[in-house]
Amino acid sequence: MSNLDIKIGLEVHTQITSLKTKLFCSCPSDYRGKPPNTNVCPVCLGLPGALPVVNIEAIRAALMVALALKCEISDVLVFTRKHYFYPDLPKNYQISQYDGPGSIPIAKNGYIVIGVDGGLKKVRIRRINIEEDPGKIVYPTGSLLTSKYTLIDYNRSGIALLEIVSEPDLRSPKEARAFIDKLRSILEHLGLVNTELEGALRVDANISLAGGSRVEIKNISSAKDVERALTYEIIRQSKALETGEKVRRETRHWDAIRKVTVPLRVKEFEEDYRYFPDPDLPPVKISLKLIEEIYQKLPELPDQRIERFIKTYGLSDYLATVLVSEKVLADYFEECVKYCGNPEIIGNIVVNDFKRWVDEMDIEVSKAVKILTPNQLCQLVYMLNNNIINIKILKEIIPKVLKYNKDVNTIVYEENYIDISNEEVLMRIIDEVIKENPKAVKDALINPKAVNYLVGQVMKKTRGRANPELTNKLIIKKLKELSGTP
Amino acid sequence: MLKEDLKVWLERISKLSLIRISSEEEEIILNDMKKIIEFFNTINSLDLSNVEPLFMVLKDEPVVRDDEVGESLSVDEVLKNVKEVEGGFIKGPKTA
Amino acid sequence: MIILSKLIRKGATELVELFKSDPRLIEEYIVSVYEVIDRVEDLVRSYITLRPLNEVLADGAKVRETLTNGFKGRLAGLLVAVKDVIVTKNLRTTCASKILYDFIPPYNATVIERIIGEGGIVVGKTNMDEFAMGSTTENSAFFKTRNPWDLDRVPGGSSGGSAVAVAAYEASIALGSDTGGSIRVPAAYTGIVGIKPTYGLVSRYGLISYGTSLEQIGPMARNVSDLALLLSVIAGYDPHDSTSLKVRDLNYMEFLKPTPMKKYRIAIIRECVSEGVDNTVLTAFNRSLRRFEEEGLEVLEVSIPIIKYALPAYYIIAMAEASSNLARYDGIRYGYHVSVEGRTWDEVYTEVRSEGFGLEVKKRILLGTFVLSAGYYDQYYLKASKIRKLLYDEFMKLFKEVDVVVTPTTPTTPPRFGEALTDPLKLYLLDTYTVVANLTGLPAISIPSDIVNDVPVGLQLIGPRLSEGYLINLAYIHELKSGLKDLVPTAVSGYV
Repeated sequence: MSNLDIKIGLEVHTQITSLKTKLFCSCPSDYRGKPPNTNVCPVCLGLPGALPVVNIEAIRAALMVALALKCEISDVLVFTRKHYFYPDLPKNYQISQYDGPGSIPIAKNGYIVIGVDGGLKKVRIRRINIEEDPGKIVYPTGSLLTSKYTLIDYNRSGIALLEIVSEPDLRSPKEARAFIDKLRSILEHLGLVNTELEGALRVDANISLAGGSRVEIKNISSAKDVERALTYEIIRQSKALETGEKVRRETRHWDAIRKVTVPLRVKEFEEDYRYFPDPDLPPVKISLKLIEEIYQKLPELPDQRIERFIKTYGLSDYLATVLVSEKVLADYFEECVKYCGNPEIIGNIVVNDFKRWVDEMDIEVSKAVKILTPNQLCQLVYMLNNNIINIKILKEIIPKVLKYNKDVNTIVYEENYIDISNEEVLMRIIDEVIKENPKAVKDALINPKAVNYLVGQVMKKTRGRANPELTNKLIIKKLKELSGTP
Repeated sequence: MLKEDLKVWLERISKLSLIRISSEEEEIILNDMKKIIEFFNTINSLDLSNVEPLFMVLKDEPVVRDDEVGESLSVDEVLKNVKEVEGGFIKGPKTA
Repeated sequence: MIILSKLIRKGATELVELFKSDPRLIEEYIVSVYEVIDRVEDLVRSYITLRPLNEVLADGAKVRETLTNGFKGRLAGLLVAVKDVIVTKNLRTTCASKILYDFIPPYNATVIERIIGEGGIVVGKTNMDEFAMGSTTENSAFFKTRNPWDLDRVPGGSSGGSAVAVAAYEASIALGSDTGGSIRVPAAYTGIVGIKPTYGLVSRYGLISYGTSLEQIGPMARNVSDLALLLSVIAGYDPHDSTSLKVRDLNYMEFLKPTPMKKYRIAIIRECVSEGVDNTVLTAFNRSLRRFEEEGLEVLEVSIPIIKYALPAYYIIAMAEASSNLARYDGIRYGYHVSVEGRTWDEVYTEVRSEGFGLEVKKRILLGTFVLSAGYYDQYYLKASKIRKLLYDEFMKLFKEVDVVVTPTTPTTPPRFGEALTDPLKLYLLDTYTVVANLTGLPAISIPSDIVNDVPVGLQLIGPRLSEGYLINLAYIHELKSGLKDLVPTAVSGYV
């Protein structure tokens, strides 16, 4: 797709879930699952006369992110009103930030390094804004298009968000996904965002192809969907460009269920947000001392952790990067290692088996680590190291544990997974296989590579329990006997 | 200084403010607007390119808040002034 | 004819002392104030919402009981009229607008909490220009309030209802709000005192916003002592207002001294006494100046040329902020409502806002939207904010040399009904001298300067930041020398 000259920029909205209260009032930030309109006060309901007062912890959180993303930090925090009418916005303006006369975002000009095709790439961050979340609109028919009215719940109104905007430095949906994954990992490592909470991470993506116009896709709620939505758009736009159609500059909506983007209603006039510094919120000075203090307290960030994993545990660059891409995964790995050592084996298992199955079964990592606990995983490693099971069997057991939530020992014994390393037993099976596959035996006598087929047949007969190394050795020995060479 | 016809201007600004001007009001408003904009334009004679703007006069550091949970309104208080309620939700207009 | 209690003409400060020694007097006082209201309200129409007598009596009984138990509330037993721009829990708050005609706030403004905490009783909500936009109280969506000195004249605005409630003895004291002169102009026109405090001194929490960066709530009273009393209660730090100053435990009663507490240097601004001022106003102004000079205070003249741009700069900023502050009125969560089903948000909102707002409010929203819109922001809003900066710097410089600036409160005596509405600029010009204090955030008090042809004329004193105490000292001296306190307006003199 690279020949299409793709430019992608992302706007990521993330809730600072570590806060106890909203951005400008003392309502709880924990709005999920509450009955509608039970988590509001005069301030976040926009009642006449109510005034905002900023949550100091939200400023500290934004500064942490700014430092982690290597941004230039403004010496004042200025809030700006962004005006547009919409039923989920109780004041009909959003308290946000802006780069313009009298206004400045809390941080600008940073970057994130992502891994791309084995190399590293610097993606520039244009700015970070602190802003308030609007309320939530529920459509009585389930669809925006067919509902005759809306139902509004303001419980979410006023929740503290960070808007992180990248420059259009991304060149493919895969890079976009890598960017989100990396950003998410940074936010998790800072301890600010529980990204597994519904709606805690929302993305708007801007994409343009050479010869086309910029299209914005709104309302994407996962890294996976960012990749999907962008791939869909690239196909849609390149088809249009091929047939000589014009790609309009527009805003589209990602329909996560149908997996398509749909155009939003075209506005009669161009948006004019009439930004101006919010006079209810005079600028807050951001002192060097405060920045220094926050800098000193920054926890270990993903890049540092990757480095440490390589150095301390002797992991490959690849394993370390995948592990750290999700904080829970990296934490899980370290816990296992603490428990039973073997960092390389565990690193491989966590990345190649555990993570693979978790993704495939679409379960949350945080839940999966409670099923295959470090203790359980360490038991498997013990059995492997002591030849009770072989690596093939281990790979079979992991999805079963995740799927049935069963103890590993139970599975190993119930399913009779214990490794067959007894030479007599194995020889009996090998004899059977040799008898049943005369042609393969002939081949194997000429071509040593064809031995693998026979090993496979033994595995099949033992449902994988045969110790593969030993089996291999015994077959070769048997073949030598057959050919008569000493 | 307006860069467009006053009537076109009024239509654009009314759409932005979601305020419709009735035909009876239009004449008064256009007449007043013309005068007020001319009055505003008196500041155009000043060259202030080197002056910093002052948006707020507060000299102290503004009040900020600790991250502590306080009281929210009861649902009755929230819905007391709402005219159309459905299942605890506030009924709003269509968005498409 | 009922003989009114002698309590009615007493000042608030005196009443509080009387109630402390005899809490039973509270009931007598409440009844007599309601007597006055019964007689004069039809003439002047101060109140949009008046609380029923029995409710107020019940509140009075509670205060009486606490007093008996040793409560020392500074406003115990006083009846406070509250401008209908300040929210009161469970008491309708309309902003004199159709768009909020039935709004019952679920919370109290901070100033209301403080007043109640000191034993004050809210008696009702007073008329005003819709959303405080106006200088005559003619722009109320409900009715016009009349000047008790001359029923054919406006009482000034936008806090006209509060001014008249106090001036006509329908309340002990009152709260107003001042965005560009809305306390001081009606105070001047009705012969009472009113102060716009230093920006941030009084909490704005619960004040329905018009021009956020300009406005303050302030007290209105028949004499300087009463004003000092109410200001002492409402001033000071509030954690619910980001712009609140961190000052606490203020007592302005200490400044009620008959002699100057400082060798005040008084400045008059040439530009404020040269053009467009009525002769009657100027005569009264000069007489007031002589009173200060007789106290041995120095009066000097200064020139601040930029001041002539203050008025357009003020209106640009006020309207810009208003257009934003008034965006929230869409009929969904409160106020004037139209049915939503089957209609889009822009249709519904446009209908609510077009029917709910009055003409002056619409004009200001439109103009405010305009001065913030793309392509015009720099030319209007940003430039006005630069003028604000120049003006601010000029005043900071001036207050290094002088202690107080005096001007007439208004260039003219109160207009007759309709007079100021013939031309929008005529209305705006009423605020010529008052907007300066709002743009700079400085405190400014209006006191009666004189009564000319049976109509009061106001004098404005502007001081440096947080100089309310000294302004009160000077106002008190002027009050003693002029005898202009607890005035009884001619149109209601037969009823109180």
